[in-house]
Amino acid sequence: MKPIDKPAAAALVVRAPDRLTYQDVLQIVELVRAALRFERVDVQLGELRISVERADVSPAAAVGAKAAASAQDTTTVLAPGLGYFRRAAAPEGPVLALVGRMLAPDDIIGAIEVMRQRTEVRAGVAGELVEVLAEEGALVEFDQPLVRIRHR
Amino acid sequence: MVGFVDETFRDGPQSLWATRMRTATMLGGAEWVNRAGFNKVCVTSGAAFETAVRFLGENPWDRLRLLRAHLPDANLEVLIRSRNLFGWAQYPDDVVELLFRCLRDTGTDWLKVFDGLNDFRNIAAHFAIARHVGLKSAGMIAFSLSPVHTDRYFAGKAAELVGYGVDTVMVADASGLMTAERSRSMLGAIKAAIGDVPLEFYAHHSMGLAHEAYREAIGVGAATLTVASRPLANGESVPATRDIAAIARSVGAPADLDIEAIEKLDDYLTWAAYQEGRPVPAPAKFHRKAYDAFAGHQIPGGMISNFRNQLRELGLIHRLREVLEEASRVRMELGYPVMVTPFSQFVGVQATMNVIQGERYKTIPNELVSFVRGTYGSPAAPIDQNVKDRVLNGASLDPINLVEQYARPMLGEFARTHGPFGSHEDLLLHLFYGRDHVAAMYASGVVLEPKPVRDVPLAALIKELLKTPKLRSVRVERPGAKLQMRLARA
Repeated sequence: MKPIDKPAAAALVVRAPDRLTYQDVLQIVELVRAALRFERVDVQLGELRISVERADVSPAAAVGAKAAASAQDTTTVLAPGLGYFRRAAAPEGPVLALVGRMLAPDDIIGAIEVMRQRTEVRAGVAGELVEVLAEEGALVEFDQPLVRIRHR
Repeated sequence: MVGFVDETFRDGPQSLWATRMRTATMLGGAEWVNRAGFNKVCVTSGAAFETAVRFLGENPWDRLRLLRAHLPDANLEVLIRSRNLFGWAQYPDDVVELLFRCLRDTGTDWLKVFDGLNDFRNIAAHFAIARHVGLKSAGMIAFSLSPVHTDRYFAGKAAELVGYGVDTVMVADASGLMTAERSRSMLGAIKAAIGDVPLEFYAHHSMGLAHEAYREAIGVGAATLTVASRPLANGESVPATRDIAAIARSVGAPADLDIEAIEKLDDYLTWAAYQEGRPVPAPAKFHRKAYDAFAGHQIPGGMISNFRNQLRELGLIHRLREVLEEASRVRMELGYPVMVTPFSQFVGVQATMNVIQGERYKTIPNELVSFVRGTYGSPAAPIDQNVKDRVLNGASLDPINLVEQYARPMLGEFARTHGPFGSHEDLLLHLFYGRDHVAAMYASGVVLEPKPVRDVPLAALIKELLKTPKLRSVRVERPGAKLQMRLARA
């Protein structure tokens, strides 16, 4: 099975909490239960790592294509890992996942948040942001579509 | 500088958890509530007492003693509903006094007393009795939106309360309908009428208006604002403590609160809400259409959902809108009672029957006859004469003298016919809830732990993961912390 450990574009925006809170516990439980759809999952975001193994192994647990699957003239930006989708890179920051925004490949289109740490997600291609596919605060899985960008 | 009254243990659970917060949950958060620096902490009410006895199997007097022990630095406050006290009948002065003595002896410092009609003949004695037994009291003014509930009307009511020797005057908007403009004008008028007596303000954030109403209240010079920990705030409840503390700071009236303690409390109660299966509502946003629709009938949200169910069962759900419009009319005809228990029920039930039966006031419940006779006091506006004639049906009834009625003692007779009782506390529980419910409470087997029992987050995490099926192993790692679990399976 595909291990999920893609801290590739990871940039730590919010300092990791130094003590476990009850709200952290709720997030971990939710992430673990979501991860159970896979046979084995490793999540690494910023300095946090979560690994989960299922007791019963089901071969049907397939994972979507790794590359951005898209229509010809657009690119779909996928979630780099399991977490909560945020349309801003910081809690009080401006909304970045905005339809109509013109993007360069290095521009940030949002972030994946786990335990108050946000990992920025970058556009990867130049173009216009034409659709936001994940809701603010929604729990997204690895490779889940976040936004669609029409090539310039 | 503005002070704060906390409703995390009282209004929060009553508005969001059907009053089902257990003593153990409260004690788990008590250390932070104690440290937070609230002026007062409201800990119980009639609804909380009744729910503890009937549904949680907890002795509410023991709960009060435990809260007193674990909130040593807080002023504990109890909400009193007019002559109903902690029950449903109307009780005379000797019951008021015994209840207040028992509350004092279990550690209560303050009472806040309201009457749903703002007819203070019902509660004038409460303030004198509170003072007599050594309790402080806030006289509450129940806000309502209607043509007769003017700033002048409320200022007059506030002055009347001051005349009864209340320690503070508290304006309470349970409907959530008070706008910023109204807050400024009304609280300004009341402040002018009460002089040096502190003004307290309390509003539900159900319409998305309380933040702005609170901001204005600070400007007018309110002494306290009423709030709750975030998981027990918003929705039909009061605003969240940290949100209002931020507003106070932004207008240069810094809150003397320990924000770190409140964050810890918020965090712990988020977990408690999850464990109890109670959603944490987001703050409401103001919508003009929703506001206008609600302002007409002002039937509380919980009651409307009951209506929906009942009408659906009758196959009449398509007439809900008609029923709500009829409720606006009935409310007007009955003199604009404030839409709180039991008056919201009177209006709602009558409106439903008027619509379903196709003839207005064809069936009239006994409670409505009592209301129209003045058993509960007088509403802000006179009752429509045609409705009055129809309800009383030509019967010549003696006028009701409330003060005389309340002076007639009932405890001696009750103790003779229902006793003996183990204690005054026991007697009051029997009086309010009846022998069967009290016996069931004593037999419930629920033991209130005298010390807070609270899983630390890591223990909470492990226990919760153990409940997850299909899990073989989990590893959570972070700088300075590592948790690895491999579950044994049979």
